Amino acid sequence: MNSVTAIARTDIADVIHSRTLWGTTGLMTTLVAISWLSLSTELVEQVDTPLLTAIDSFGLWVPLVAIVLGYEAVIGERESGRIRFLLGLPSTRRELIIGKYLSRVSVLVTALVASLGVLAVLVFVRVDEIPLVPLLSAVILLVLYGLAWIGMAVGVSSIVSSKTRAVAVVVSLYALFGPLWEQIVLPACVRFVELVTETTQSINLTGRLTYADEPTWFLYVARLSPLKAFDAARYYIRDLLEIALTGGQTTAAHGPNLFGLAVLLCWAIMPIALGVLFFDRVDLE
Amino acid sequence: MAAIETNGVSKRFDETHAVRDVDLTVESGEVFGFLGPNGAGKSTTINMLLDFVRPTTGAISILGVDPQEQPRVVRRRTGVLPEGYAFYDRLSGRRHVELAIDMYESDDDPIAILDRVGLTGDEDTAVGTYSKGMRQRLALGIALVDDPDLLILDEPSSGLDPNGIRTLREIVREEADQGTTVFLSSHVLDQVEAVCDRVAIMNDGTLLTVDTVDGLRETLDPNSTLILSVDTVPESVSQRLAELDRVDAVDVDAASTGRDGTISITCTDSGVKSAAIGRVEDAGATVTDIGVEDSSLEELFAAYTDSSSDGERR
Repeated sequence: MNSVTAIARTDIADVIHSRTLWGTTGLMTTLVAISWLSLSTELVEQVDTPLLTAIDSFGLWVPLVAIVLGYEAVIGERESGRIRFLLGLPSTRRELIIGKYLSRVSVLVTALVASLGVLAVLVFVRVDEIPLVPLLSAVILLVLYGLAWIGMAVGVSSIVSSKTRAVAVVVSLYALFGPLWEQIVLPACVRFVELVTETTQSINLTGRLTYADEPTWFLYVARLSPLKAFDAARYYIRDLLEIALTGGQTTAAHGPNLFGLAVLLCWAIMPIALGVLFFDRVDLE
Repeated sequence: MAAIETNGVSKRFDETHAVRDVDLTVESGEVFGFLGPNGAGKSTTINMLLDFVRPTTGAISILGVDPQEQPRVVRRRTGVLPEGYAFYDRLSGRRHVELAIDMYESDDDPIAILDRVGLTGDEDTAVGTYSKGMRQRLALGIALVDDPDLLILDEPSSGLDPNGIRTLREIVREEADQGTTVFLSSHVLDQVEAVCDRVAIMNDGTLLTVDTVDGLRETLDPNSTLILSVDTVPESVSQRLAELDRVDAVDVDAASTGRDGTISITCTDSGVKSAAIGRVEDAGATVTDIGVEDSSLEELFAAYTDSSSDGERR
C-alpha cells in the first residue's frame, strides 16, 4: 500500500502542473456556466430543481476532462520510460496502475468539485437558494460519473500499446456513448425490437430518463451509456437522498435506475480491473 | 546462494529469438560484468532479470526468489539502474530520491545520496533541466537507496563524462567492499575491465563465455607483444629471434635495415621476453626502449564476437 500512495502522491505533484488539465477544467467550467446562464428565465422558473438542471451539461464535458487526465496515465509512462524508473523501485505493476488511478481520480474530483462550486454560486445568484439535498446529490453524481470516465481512460491506457491508440480508443468510446448512442445505437435497437417482436415501440429518445415509462428493455439498454446513466441518475440520486434524509417519495422505477448507477460503477471499476489483468502479463520493452 | 541464477532462459519475440538458452550464475559478493555489442540480447536478458520482460522458457532466480512471482521481495533488496528510463521532468532530484526512499521504506537521507553521486547543489532543481550525465548520476543514486544487497546497473556509464565514470567506479568498488553484489552491463569494455571480477560475453542471443578478465585474456589470446626500440636493426635479427621457441612472430620496422627502428616480437609466453632482448643485443643492436602491449579486452572481445558470427554464417 505504501508504494501505491507514494506513486499516487508523486503523480499528483506532477499532474497538477499540467496546463492542459487546468485549461480543460477551466473550459468545462466556462461552458457549464454559459449553458446555465443562457437558459431563459421562464424555463428556470419552471424547473423543480435548478441546480440539477444546471449540472446537465457536465454530462458532455466531464468525459473530456477525464480523457485528457487519464489517457496517458499508464501508456505515457511506458512510452517515456518513466515506468522503468518506477518499477525499478519496490513496487508491482498492479500497484503502479492503482496508484495512477487514485492520483488521477483525486485530481479529477478536485477539479469537478471546484467547477461545481462555481456553478452553484451562479445558480444561487439567479434563484437565490441552494437546497442541501440537490447539492449533495450533484456532488455524489459528479464523482461517480467522473470515476466512470477516468476508469475507462486509465483502463484503456493500461491496455493499448501507444498513446495514439489510447486517444483513438477513448475518443471512440466517447463518440459511441455520446452522439452515436442517441442517433444510431438506440434507434437501431428500437428498429431491431420492432422487427423481432413485430410491434411498434413508442419511444421518446430525448425524454427525462429517470421517470420515463418507455418499454422496460429500453430503460435498461439506454443506461448502458454512461452519458444516459448520468442523465437518469441526476434526479434519481436526489430522490433517494430525500427518501433517506427527509422521508420523501419518488415515482422513479427503481430497477432501471439502480441499474444505471451500477453501470456507472462498472465503468469505474471494470476497465481498471481488465487493465490490471492485462498489464500484469505484457512485456515492457 | 547465488545472487543471480538463470537456467535455460530464452526469449522469443514473434519470429526472432532474442535470447537463447542462457545459463548464468552470479555469485554473492562479486562484481560481474555483462558484455556484448548492441543488439546482442543483453538488454532483453537484463529486462528479464528485472521482470520487465517475461522469459518464453527457463527459470530466473534473483537472491533466491523468482522475480515474476515476488517482484516486491526482489526489489526491496535490489538497487536498479535501468536503461531507457525517464524521470518526472517537473520534479526535483531530491523529490525523486525521496520517492525512492518512501518506496524502500528506508530512512536514508536524500541529500547524502545526492552528495554521494556528485549532485550537490542541484538537489532542488527540476530534473527537466538536468544534463544526460546528471540524470545518470541521479539514477545511480536512486539505485543506492536503502543499501541494496544486489545492484543491477544497465549501461551505467552511458552519458557520463570521465569524472562521472570515476565516481561510478569508486561507488562500485565501495559497494563491493561492503559485500554488495554488482551486476553491470556495458558495451564499453575498459570500464568493465577495471572493476569486474568476472565477465560474461553475449552475442547473437547466446552467452559465449563467462570468465575472469585475466582468464579471458589467457584463453583467447595469451600473446603479449614486446616492442623494442633499437639504434640499428641488424640483418640477422629476425632469423635469430624466430629460432626462439615461444616467439610467434617478429615484425621489423625500420626505414631500411641498418638504421634505427622498432622490432615487435609477439611472445606466446612472457617468460621468453628477456631471452628475446638478449638475442637482439647479441645481433649487434642497442635497445633504447622497451614496451609491452597486452592484448586489450577490446581486441579479445572483437575476436570473440567475430568468431561467433563466423560460426553463424557457416
